[in-house]
Amino acid sequence: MNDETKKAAALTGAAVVFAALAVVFLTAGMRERPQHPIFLVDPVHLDTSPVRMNYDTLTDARYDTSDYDCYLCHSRAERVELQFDDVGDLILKEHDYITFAHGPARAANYCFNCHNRDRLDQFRTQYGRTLSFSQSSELCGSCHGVTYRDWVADAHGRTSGYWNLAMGDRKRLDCTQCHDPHDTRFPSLAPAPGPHSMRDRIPAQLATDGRNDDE
Amino acid sequence: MSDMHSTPGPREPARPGNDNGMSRRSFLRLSGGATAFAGVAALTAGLAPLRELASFTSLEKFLQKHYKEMTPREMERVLDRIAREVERQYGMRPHVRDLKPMDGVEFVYALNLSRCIGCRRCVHACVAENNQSGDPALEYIRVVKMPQGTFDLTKGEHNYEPESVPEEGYFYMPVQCQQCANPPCVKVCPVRATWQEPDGITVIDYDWCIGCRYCQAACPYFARRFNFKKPVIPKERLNPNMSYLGNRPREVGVVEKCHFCIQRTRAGRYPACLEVCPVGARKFGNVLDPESEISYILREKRVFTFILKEEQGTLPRFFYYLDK
Ligand code: HEC
Ligand code: HEC
Ligand code: HEC
Ligand code: HEC
Repeated sequence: MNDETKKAAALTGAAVVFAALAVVFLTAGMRERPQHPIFLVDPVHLDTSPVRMNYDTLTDARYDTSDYDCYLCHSRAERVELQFDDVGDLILKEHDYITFAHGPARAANYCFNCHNRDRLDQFRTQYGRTLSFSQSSELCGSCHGVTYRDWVADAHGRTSGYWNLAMGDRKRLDCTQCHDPHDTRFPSLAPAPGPHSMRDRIPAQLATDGRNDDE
Repeated sequence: MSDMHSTPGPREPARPGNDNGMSRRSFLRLSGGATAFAGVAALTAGLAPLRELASFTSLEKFLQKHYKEMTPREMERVLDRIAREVERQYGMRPHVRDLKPMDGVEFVYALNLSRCIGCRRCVHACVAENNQSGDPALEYIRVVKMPQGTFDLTKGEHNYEPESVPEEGYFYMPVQCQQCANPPCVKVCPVRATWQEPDGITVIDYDWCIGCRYCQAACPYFARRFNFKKPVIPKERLNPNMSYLGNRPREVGVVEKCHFCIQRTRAGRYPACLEVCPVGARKFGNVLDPESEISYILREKRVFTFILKEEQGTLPRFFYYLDK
């Protein structure tokens, strides 16, 4: 073998090695590409709007608030009469769309525990204080003192904006943006999809196991 | 030499007297050239993935100092480098900052277990806010469903998928980094890539992390995640409000975890998981401020911490509580 044959052999060898490397890298690159759809957060689950629109938010959004305009239908001159059935349950006529479930024993199902009988477009607390529809949280507070105190301290309910009030404002939701005053239980929601990095992988023991399994 | 006499041209003409019509030499030269050409082509293709690695920005990254030793000017340059890198990879110019802890601020989180309905909105808001990889999918928060009346994690379930939550007879416990005051993860890091900041947040410098995963093994809460592959985040899903110790895009081979949304909370805002929580189970604030809701909760409610390995004495800054 002379020099030139050797050189050619070496070059051919190198070419083969590089070609093999190229194949490895290219296929490695291809393997890295996802073989399955990329998991993306559905923006539906990022919605921060409250579960319920109350009088104020309906008004702000310029939605129909005629339901709150009691004297569209009622007369100021006539007192509203309530009717009860044999077991003492209220018989709703026009307002039968209202589900009444305030507390486990339907504790507050007497309309005029909250609404002012003499001025339907107002609330009246048990202590005789009258409040506008925009002050419903205070109405709730008149019976739920402890929860109200928590709420004022931002411990019950929901806040958004700034924890640091020196740097920006904070928004606090009204009670009625979470609780329907007539049917107070927080509504159930469809859960967002479960864990992706752990799906079907880690059963119970994961909870105390210090590893993640996305290997 | 015959070359000298031949007419100028790229190839040597065939000469009579040579039985195959081509000299050995010209053959060799030809095939040698072709082989060399093929070799160079293969080399280029083969080294293509290294191009990225050898880019100028990575060199800068390689020469970078430890976070705590950088001057503000050096940090500025680093932030600019990160912004350029993100722009190159994602085609958008991010707003990358290095927000410092505030004086007189120590963050504490509290989660009301009697409110949580297990809807997992927090998990998803966290992924979107913090630029977590969509493939492989990483999540900082996991929600464990447990039968009411027990506190037995071995009965916990992660993969519940009912029509609606909450389910009768169960409660839900979200778990994320507990921001321990005595963090076992920090102690085991051999390169000081993770440490506790004065405001209580345990952070990770992704440029300093070597991916040994000791911290991950040390964490009793299963709170740390490792990037086994290059994270995939579609351009349009990238959150451009970034911070160095927070949600800037990570590279393959580094560990990440919840950092209390440092890019938001050090700017005075609430974390993303808190703002999305529909029931208001999540509470956050400055425990050194007696007026904060978090101080109120620690004062007024029966709070407890999640202790998995008592002997470790982790002292979480993440509290759980029940209303009744
Ligand atoms: C769309 C018309 C309409 C509006 C608006 C309306 N009501 Fe009525 N409401 C009625 C009718 C009709 C009845 C049945 C009257 C009857 O039987 O005497 C009724 C009955 C009631 C009753 C008795 C319970 C029942 O359902 O029979 C109460 C209490 C009452 N209304 C309160 C209010 C209050 C408070 C508002 C405003 C927030 C209001 N209503 C707005 C039409 C209306
Ligand atoms: C616990 C207090 C409470 C009781 C009891 C109560 N309400 Fe209300 N009601 C409210 C509050 C608060 C609002 C306004 C809520 C809002 O901002 O969305 C309201 C709104 C309404 C409205 C207007 C909006 C709508 O849902 O149509 C009607 C009508 C109404 N109540 C009727 C009644 C009737 C009839 C009863 C008795 C059967 C009754 N309420 C009992 C607190 C009460
Ligand atoms: C007139 C007094 C009164 C007012 C006003 C009132 N509530 Fe109630 N509420 C009660 C009573 C009584 C119960 C039953 C408490 C119990 O069983 O422990 C109750 C129960 C509840 C419950 C359920 C508690 C449970 O254990 O399931 C919720 C939620 C609630 N109220 C929310 C509200 C909201 C929101 C408002 C304001 C729109 C409000 N309440 C206004 C008297 C009131
Ligand atoms: C972020 C939404 C939200 C807001 C705002 C809110 N609550 Fe609640 N509240 C809840 C949830 C969730 C529960 C858990 C029980 C349930 O599923 O209804 C609850 C429970 C309650 C209970 C039952 C007792 C308890 O502590 O478990 C009362 C009473 C109550 N809320 C009153 C109020 C009052 C009064 C306000 C306003 C001052 C208010 N809530 C504001 C979400 C809210």
